[in-house]
Amino acid sequence: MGVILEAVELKKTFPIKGWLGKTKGAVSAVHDVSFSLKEQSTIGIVGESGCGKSTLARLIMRLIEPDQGKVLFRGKDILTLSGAELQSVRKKIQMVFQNPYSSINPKLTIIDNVAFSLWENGVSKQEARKKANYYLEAVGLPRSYATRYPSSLSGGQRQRVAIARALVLEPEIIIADEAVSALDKSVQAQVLNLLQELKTEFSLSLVFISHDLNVVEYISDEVMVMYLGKVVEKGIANQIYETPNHPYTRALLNSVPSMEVGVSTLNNSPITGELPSPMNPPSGCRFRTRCPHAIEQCSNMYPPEIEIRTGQKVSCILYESSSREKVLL
Amino acid sequence: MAGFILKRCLLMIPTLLGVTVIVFLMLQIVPGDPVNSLLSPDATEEDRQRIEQELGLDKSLVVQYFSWIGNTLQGDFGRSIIKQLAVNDLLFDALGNTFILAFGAAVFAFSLSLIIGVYSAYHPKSWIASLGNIIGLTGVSIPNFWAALILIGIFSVMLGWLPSAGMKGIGGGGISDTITHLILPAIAVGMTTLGVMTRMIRSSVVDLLQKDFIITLQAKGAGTFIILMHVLKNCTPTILTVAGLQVGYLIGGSVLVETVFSWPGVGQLIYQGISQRDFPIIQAGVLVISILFVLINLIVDILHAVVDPRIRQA
Amino acid sequence: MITENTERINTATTILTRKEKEDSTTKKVIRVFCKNRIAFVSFIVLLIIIFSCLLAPLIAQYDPLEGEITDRLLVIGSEGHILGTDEQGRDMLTRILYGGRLSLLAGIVPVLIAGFIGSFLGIVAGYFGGILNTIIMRTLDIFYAFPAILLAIGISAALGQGINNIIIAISIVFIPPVARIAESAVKGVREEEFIEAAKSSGARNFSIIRYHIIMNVFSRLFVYCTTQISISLVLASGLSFLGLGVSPPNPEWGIMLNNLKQQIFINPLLTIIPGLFIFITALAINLVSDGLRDALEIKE
Repeated sequence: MGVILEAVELKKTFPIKGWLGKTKGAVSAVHDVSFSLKEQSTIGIVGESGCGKSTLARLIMRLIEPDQGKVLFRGKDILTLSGAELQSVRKKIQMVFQNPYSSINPKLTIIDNVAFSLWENGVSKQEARKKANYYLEAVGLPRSYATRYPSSLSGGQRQRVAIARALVLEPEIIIADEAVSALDKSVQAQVLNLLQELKTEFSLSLVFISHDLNVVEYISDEVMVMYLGKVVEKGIANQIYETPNHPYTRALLNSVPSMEVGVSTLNNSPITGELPSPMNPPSGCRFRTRCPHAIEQCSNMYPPEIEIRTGQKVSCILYESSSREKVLL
Repeated sequence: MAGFILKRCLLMIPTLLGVTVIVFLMLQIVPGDPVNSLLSPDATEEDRQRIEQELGLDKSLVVQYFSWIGNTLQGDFGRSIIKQLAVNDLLFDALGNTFILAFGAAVFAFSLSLIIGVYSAYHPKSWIASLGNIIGLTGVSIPNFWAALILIGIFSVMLGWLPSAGMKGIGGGGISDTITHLILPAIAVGMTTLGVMTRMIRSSVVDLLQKDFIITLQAKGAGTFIILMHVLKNCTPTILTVAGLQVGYLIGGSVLVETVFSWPGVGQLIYQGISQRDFPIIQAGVLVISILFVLINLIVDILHAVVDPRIRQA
Repeated sequence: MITENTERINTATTILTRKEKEDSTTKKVIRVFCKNRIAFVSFIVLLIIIFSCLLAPLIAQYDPLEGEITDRLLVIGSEGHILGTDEQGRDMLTRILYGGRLSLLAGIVPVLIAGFIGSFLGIVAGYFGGILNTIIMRTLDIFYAFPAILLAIGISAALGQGINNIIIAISIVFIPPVARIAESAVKGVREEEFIEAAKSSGARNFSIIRYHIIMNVFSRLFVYCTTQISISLVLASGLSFLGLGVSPPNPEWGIMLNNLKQQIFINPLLTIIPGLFIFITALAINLVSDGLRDALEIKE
């Protein structure tokens, strides 16, 4: 299976306007982020709030324009497209948003919420509603729900509507931006399973963004860990979860409460300190202010990406010497 | 803080300019030809042109605007068409009187609404609270010129307690005389504000009394007076905003009431201007009051920022 | 697999009723409104007033423009003149009914006009933001800087007499506040995720505004406009009272009050009648709009 989506060194900074439009500073939201998504696989993007994952999602969809970098859909850079070509690519990448209570228009019926994208793209309203019905069924909502309003649906049901809406344009890639974070745990499982099923049924590729490591582990083939706008580690999911390399990834995994009986996670090294302001990220490696293994050289330059094993890359000075094994730790 | 004041003042300038432009445009849309009224029936074309030149009507609109502004800034509002007096003499006397009326109405409305509003919030079932409800409802629905007539009807005609016209009695002068003349008009002007403020103060205080920090204070045994001070301190920003908006309404509303009571203020001038088709007076009155309104809003804004530091950040 | 999920949904929590089709929002609002007794009674009173005025030619017995001078200033309850007569001997009830038409017109039409124009400007300014927003809102702010009455007086005095000019003047006065409400409401909705979703599907701005924005700001705008009707009514009567509206002998509640003003020393009760109608109508409108607001809020 080839690569369906590739992000190449994406960069986005948001200027902060002071009085009268003067620029007071800038938030470096996404910096040199690259990844590739294989067809019909799932990549999980994980990190704390504020690490740039949501901005990344919007850059990929071109809802925001990146300052630098490329987004290749099946080899074509979508940032160079416009007009009808851009529109047809837009339909291929759709997003499911986080908040089920604000991602659906409360004043439209369920069916219209889903059908809207379709009839805005040239299909007749009747046809659009027919297709919408089909996808509502595909996500497991009974026909009777179609004429209801969102206010009478639960969070989980609303997310199903959001998924149906994403599916109705028959995309090839779905970006789920914290799509289950706002749901109860039991409902999360249902929706995750649904996503898996739909992925197979409709041959989708999935970009799954979350701050919840358990969820990401469950659903992803590959994982990418972000911190303060930069990629710290990426690779095959179970490899990263079994042997995390980057200190940040380790700390993240260690901070997840374990469900296993008898395993105490209390004494593992927690992440110390506060998240630095994205307006003023630390020089060099952005994690160094909270890293238990930081050394002086960490502040000089952001460590380049090193391939530790096939398919597993990490950006940390600890792995920089020629040997491919860990130096410390 | 100083920066905030400066910024606000600067922002006010384009607004003031805009106000003057609009008043100027109002003068322009008056139908009919101002020149005609000054010509005698057998005037020639030359006469007409001469008068046009005198009045500056042959120049472009923009030039006319600037010369009008120039005159106004120097205190020359032009001459009233009917009364050949300079408008500014009439205007500034009247302005003071309107202020007295608006001030009286403000005192009436603000103090009474504070008392009734706070009391109603503390004692929602009392007759005062019911009275507050009625006031709130009637205040916003009642036309103040009608209220004025009712007040005259009851207190002047039927009971004969208070005078029904003018600012001073015959051969009068003196503060107490002015005050007796002020009472009825002030109530009439202030009624709507009383209604609005009572409603608002009551709901603000009720909201605040339910807030956790007040309940904590009560649990700690703080006295009623201290709690009241806290409540008032927290309400003040909102109350101040609404009060500020009302000031403009008080000034504008006095126009109608002045005509009923023949109170010699700007409203009375404007009314006479209307009945005599004397536009310079009308527009001068509108201009002056509007400019004062803008300035008063500025002061209220600044006061608001003094009281509530959060505003300064914006 | 899909059917498993369906069953899971059906057995899962939700508190849905058995109804297959949900009541439309309008029906819900009407139901809640009618339960509010005060609002409902006010609404009935309002209907009575409006219909009486509309049917004035059928109900009124006398000529509203001319009367018998010998019958002037008859008191309330006089024979043949249930509300008395005015200073020119015209039957008061007749003039109230005919006059109400103009007063009500001047109350409702400006709000309709300002509602449309103001909403349009506010929505455009709120949705597109940027320079367009600045131009529209700053310009409207200048009008906002005037006290409403004075602006109305200034404009209608400049335009001349007649009820049309009052309507135009009051419309202009109301456009800025409506636009402000619309703009802030749109700004609130604009950042919602469903707008982002709509944009990501490539919909045109016009469609997004039509399907997603308007429906979500409508109730707020509607409630605001209904509260403005009573203000417009009082303002219009005020302008007529000053002599800016209809010219005599045409009846209208405000100008009638002016005509009777002098008579207050002779017959105070009589002079108060036109104002009483302004007051009752404004009160009824306010209570109805309060009820509407409560009904719409509960639904939210």
